[in-house]
Amino acid sequence: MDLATLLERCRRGDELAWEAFVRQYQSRVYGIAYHYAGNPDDARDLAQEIFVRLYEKRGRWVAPEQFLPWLIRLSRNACIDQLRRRAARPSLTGVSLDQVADVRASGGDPEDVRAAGARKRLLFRALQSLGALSREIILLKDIQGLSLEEAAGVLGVPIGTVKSRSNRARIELAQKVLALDADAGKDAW
Amino acid sequence: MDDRAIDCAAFAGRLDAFEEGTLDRRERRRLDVHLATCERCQRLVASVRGELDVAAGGNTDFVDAVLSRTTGRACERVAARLCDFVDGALAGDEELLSAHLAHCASCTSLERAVREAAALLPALALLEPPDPAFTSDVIAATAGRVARRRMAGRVRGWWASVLERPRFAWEAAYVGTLLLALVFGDPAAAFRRLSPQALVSQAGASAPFEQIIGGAVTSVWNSFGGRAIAEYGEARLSQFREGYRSSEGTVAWLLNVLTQGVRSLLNLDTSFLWQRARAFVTHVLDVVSARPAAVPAPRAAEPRKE
Repeated sequence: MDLATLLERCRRGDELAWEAFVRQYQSRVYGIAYHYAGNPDDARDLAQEIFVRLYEKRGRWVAPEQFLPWLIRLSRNACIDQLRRRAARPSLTGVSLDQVADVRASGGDPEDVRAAGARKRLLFRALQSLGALSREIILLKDIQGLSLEEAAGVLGVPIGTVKSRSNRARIELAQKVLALDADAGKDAW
Repeated sequence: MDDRAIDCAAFAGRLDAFEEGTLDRRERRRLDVHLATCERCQRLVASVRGELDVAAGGNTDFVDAVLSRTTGRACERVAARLCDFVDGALAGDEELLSAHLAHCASCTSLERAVREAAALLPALALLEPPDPAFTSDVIAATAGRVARRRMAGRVRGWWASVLERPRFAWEAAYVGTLLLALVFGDPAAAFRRLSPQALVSQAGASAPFEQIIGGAVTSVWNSFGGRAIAEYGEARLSQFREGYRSSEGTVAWLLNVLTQGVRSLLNLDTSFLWQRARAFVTHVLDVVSARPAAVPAPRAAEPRKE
């Protein structure tokens, strides 16, 4: 079923379509929640809260071509609201690699999959050590795939700010990865 | 020119003349002395003479030496443009960045890290919830909201239909009166104890205006049963305090309140209420027309109807 039909049926209160929608978007919503919460339990609660908000606002869902940025914006706002209620901005330094959720593994040699998973977890840990704005820009632009304009709209900052901060954030992230590699005492390359 | 030894900078500045043989004997001797003892300038001369392949990176130390004495290494400029280089969005200078990366180990590592991050980051968009029951929990949470929403919709529909009925105002007034009677007890008791004119007369002919207004307000409040309400409330409150000590006492207290409320309704004397209403209007008119210098003499209280 194409997205437009799925959204329209959800909007009309079709419970079957809603279940399909939840299954289709749960990994993405949970991924966003995890980036803000930093641990599986809080991420699970946040993701559930996001879906409940989505359901309550289904009469105001936007057109399919604008749906992903809108979904990401709603998810981000819900996460920040929840974290503000807990009187804490996302501060995820020190997250153990063991706590990081499993990323979706692609098929292939199990050894390669395991190695790729380890690299992703290392990357995730480096990401969590960045500043809040750098982390959000990478989350929106490089992870969620939003354009500069869309990311600027979600963050409420000028496009030029996102553009200049984006490159700096990527370099900073790469430097953090190299530092973690050095700490791990191995040559990842 | 003196015979002091020259440094590397001075040597480099005279290198062209040194190679062309246009230096005078004394100057050439000074450069020879420096060249014999300076390995760096030996490499410089060798490179000028084509004896070293500097462009191929055969002498990194030499390049570093030159850069350290001129512009410094370009690593910061490379870092500023590295993302565009990796994304293929660099307008020009690709060749220069490639040349730098070919000879700079730290920038090469950074480039690899940037490329790896660009390849792996999109995969972080999708994280599997650790709990397989996540989907069913979300469905259950929203389904509960659906049920509550439907119930709220039915309640709103019923209320709208009630509001649209022509008799609703009469029914609401009737229910409101019942509630008031139940809550405040016997309303007639308040009227039996009132003497509004006496209160106004207490303000006196020489009383200040504020006292007259205050007396009028108190009188109006008492005309509506305010004093009786206060007394009734005090009595009920003390009963409640006593009755609340045990559940048996609480039940008895509630039954007592309900019984008294119903009894008050049954004993409501409409003719008496009309009489008190006329007295109230007369009293208000008296208060409004009263002046400090000519407050009417207190009239005898109206005969109470027991």
